Parts: sequence; C-alpha cells; structure tokens
Amino acid sequence: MSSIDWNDLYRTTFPELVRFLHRKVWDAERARDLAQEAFVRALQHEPKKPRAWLFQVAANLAKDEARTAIRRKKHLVLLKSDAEATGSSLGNPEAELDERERWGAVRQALNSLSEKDREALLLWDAGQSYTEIARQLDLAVGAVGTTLARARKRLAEAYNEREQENDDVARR
Amino acid sequence: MSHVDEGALHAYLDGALDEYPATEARRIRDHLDACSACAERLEAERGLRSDAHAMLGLAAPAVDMPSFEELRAYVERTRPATSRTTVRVTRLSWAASVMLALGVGWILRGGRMEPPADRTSAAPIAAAEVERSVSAGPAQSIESSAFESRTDLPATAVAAVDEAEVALDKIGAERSELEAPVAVLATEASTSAVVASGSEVSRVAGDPSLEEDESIRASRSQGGAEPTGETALDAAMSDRAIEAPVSTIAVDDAPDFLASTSVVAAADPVEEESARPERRRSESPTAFTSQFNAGRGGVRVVPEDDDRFDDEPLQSVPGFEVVATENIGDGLEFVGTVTTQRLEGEDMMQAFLLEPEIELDVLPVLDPGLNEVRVETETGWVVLRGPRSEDELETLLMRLFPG
Repeated sequence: MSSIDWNDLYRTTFPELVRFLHRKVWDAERARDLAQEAFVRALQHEPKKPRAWLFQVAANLAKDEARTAIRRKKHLVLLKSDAEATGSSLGNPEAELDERERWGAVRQALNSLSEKDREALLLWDAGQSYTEIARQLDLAVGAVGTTLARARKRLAEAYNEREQENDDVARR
Repeated sequence: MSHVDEGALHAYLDGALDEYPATEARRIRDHLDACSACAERLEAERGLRSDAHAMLGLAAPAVDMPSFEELRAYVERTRPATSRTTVRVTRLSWAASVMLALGVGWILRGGRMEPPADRTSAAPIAAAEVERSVSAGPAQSIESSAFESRTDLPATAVAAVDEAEVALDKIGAERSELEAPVAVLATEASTSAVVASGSEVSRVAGDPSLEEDESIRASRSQGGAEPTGETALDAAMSDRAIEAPVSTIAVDDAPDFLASTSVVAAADPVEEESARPERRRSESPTAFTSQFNAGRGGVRVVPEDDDRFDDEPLQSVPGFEVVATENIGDGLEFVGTVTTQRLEGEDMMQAFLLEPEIELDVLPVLDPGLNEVRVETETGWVVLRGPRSEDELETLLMRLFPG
C-alpha cells in the first residue's frame, strides 16, 4: 500500500498544477479539468514520485489539448466543483476585461520564449525543483539555472516591449 | 578564480545550490562572499527574477479545488483491477516458460539430443494439458489450473521442464527451428508475453518515465529490435513481462502488430505524443486493425460498411451488472451517455453512446491498460472500453446491437 498522503499532496499541488496548465491552455476551467484528470490518473497508478509524475502527465495532457483545441467545442466534465464560480472577476465585466488583457500580455511574452525556456520557467513557477525540471526537460541540473536566467530575461523584455507599444498607442 | 555565471546566480537566488555538487555549490557561495562585482550582478538578477515572477503572477487564475473525496470516489468507481492482472500475467509468463520448455523437450525426445527417458515421458501429458488450456482462449488459458503453480504439474513434468530449460542454453541457434506442435504452442504463448511486455512500454510512454525500473529498461532496450522468435523466447524466459497489464494481452494478434508495438517502445514519450498522427477511418478500410500508441491502449475501429452494427444500440451490454449510467455534457449540452458495467471482480467496462454529430474528442483520453473498440452508427459513435482484448470487446460491442 502506498504511503503517500494523497490528500495533502492534492491540497498542496493542485493549485500549482492548475497554474502550470493555465499558462499552457489559457482557459482556467479547462486547466482545472486537466489538473483533475492528471490527479485521477495519479490515483489510479499511484506513482512513486507523484509530484513529478503529475507535472509530466499534465504537460502531456496540455500538449494533447493544444492539438485538439481548435476542434474542441465541448468536453466531458468528470466532476463538478462545489463552487461554480471560478474567477474572482466573474460578473464584473470591467475587471474581467482587465484580467484578459493581463493574461494576453503575459501569454504573448511567454510565447516569445523558446519551448524549453518556457517550460522550465513554468515548471519552476509551479514549484518544481531544479532536479525535477532537469529530469523533465532532459537537462543537466547545472543547466537549469542558465535556462531560467535566459527565460526570465526574455520574458521581462517581451512584456516590457508590449507595455511600451501599448503606451505608444495610447498617446497617439 | 573565475566569476559565477548567470545560471549559478539564479540557482543561488532560487535556493537550488543544494542540488548542485557540493564542491561546486561551495565554490559559488565562497565566490559571492568575496567578489563585489558578482554581488552586484546578483542584485541585478534578483530584480529580474522578481519581475518575471510578478509577470507570471498576473496570469494566475483563481483556483477552485474540487473535493478530494469526490475525486477519490470517482477513481474508485472506475479503477481497473491492477493487482489481479499482475498475477494473471505472472501465470502467463510462467505458462510460456513451461510450454517453451516442453517444446524443447519434445524436440529433444525426437532424437537430436535425447535426454533420459524417464524425464521426457511426462512431457506429452503435460503438453496435452497445456494445449487444452491455450486452445480455450486467452482468458481461460491464463486462468487455467494447469498454470496455477508449478507444483500443480506432475513431478516428472517439472523435472522435464528443468532439464529443458538447461538445454535451452545448449541449443541456442536452434530456437528458431522449433517445429513440433507443442513448440508452436510455446511460441504463441511467448508471443503473448511479448505483447504484454510491449503494452507495459506503452503505459510508460504515456505516463512519465520517471520511475525507471528493471522491467522498463529491459523493455526499452528491446524497443527497436525486430520481434523475432528469439526475442519472444527471451521475453518469455525473463521477468520482463510480469508487470504488464494482462488487459492488453492479445494472444491472436498478428506479428505485424508486435512490430508496431516495438516501434512505440523506442520512441520518446513526449515527442511521440505530439508527433502521433490522427487516426483516420480511411486507414483501416478492409479489416479490423489494432493500434498501440504512446500511453494508450489499443483502439479498434469497426469499418463503416460493417452491417452487424446497423441497429440502434442498447445502452448497456446485456448480462452484466450496470454500476452507473451518467450523462455526458458540459452542463449546457447533452452529448451522450456513459454506462459503467462490471465485467467480473473489479474489472469494469464503459459503453459510451454519443449523440449524432458529436465527435470522439469529447471522450476522456484512453487510459493505459484499457482497450477500446468503436463503431460509428446512424445514431452516433458507440465506444466500448475495458481491460479486455479488442476481440473480446468487439464481441461485447456486438451485443449492444441485438438485431
């Protein structure tokens, strides 16, 4: 029998997994569904290193999602949460617009990164260790810092460039 | 002393130096203590790191966590019987070894390398038991009492098996020349073991390969090899196949199916996932085909012109306990139903009946360990999933069409 405290793991990892997935699929509800699906599989397989396993499965699910996102109109809802409202800005159109703009800016900045740099950054932001990131991206542990340094620099540059462009448009 | 590079500065800021080799970590810390230029760079990188973190934080969604208990209950309802399958495959592996050894014993008795007469005399008797078991079909053969344990065999047969296993090393190249009837049986059983081994690789490919154990490495190492009889024999004689889910064993599958399994085994899981082409109905115009993809079980698509599936389907397969029937949809639109039925023990199958025009992508990803058969009817897709071979699932699928 597994000695993993799944309840605790779920509590600590689920939000990180959703954040990780959200920056890949850019749909909060879908990110939550995929995180659920990753956990369902983890509970079925009971891997020895569940955290790393979960992120690997989540990355694969997000890849699958990207392939089918254009065709997808509906999806199977496995479970319904207690609370239907998921976004803090729900019901407030202005706040929702702000949120979408922010997401758009970050999304565009992230898209300017190479895939490996982006993946490293998202994994780090989701709480993965250098060792876990190295294993998942097939890097040496010593190369993770370099990858993250490059990714952070590029992200900040791309984000600031977009902000600058927006300011220029607003002044015209 | 050389300065610290940017990567090391970020590792320092991220608190990851403990994951570096101890000497390297010590060098970096010592250098940062002593070098004012690097200390300045560290502050600049700290600002950059902080900015990047804040930017990512702007795109953080509010997370609504579903109840863990609900999640666990769902998993319990749909959990495939993994412990049981392991036992069954262990038996199969053992059975393959027995049949292999008996096959060799048969040849030896034929005069080329005559072992002592009292040992080989028991082989045909045991072989008869084995033959009956195998011809009874996959499930029955696996559970046959002939394979329950080694002690169930006559003592002389066990001795013959031991003798034959030892003799295997001697005959080496002659393995491919096995021609006697029992030897053929042995090869078929060994083939099953290879399928089982391949399916284990499929599981690993879809799920992360982070828990490398001996069976996985062994499976990978044979990934690119042709599935020759010798490979099959080797697999049958090792523990490689023991952990494979029995649900994906297909005794009657053709050798070309094995080849495709091996190709998948050699592929990188993530790359394979993204590179895998969409399966099209037109790719299987004439016959049922099997397919193992990374992380997925086999999927068999019934050709459109198969008139056995012309009627409107039942919602569940007659003769099996219905555990649950649920609607599929996003809360706004109904797209079909899923009925979960108990096959036996904890083995469950699911029958998905989708509405007309609804595409298959509304279904959850097929879990490793499960196979799937599907047919598109006038009333929409009908999909059956379960821990059974595609042949068995196809038989069950047909029972949804009583006409």
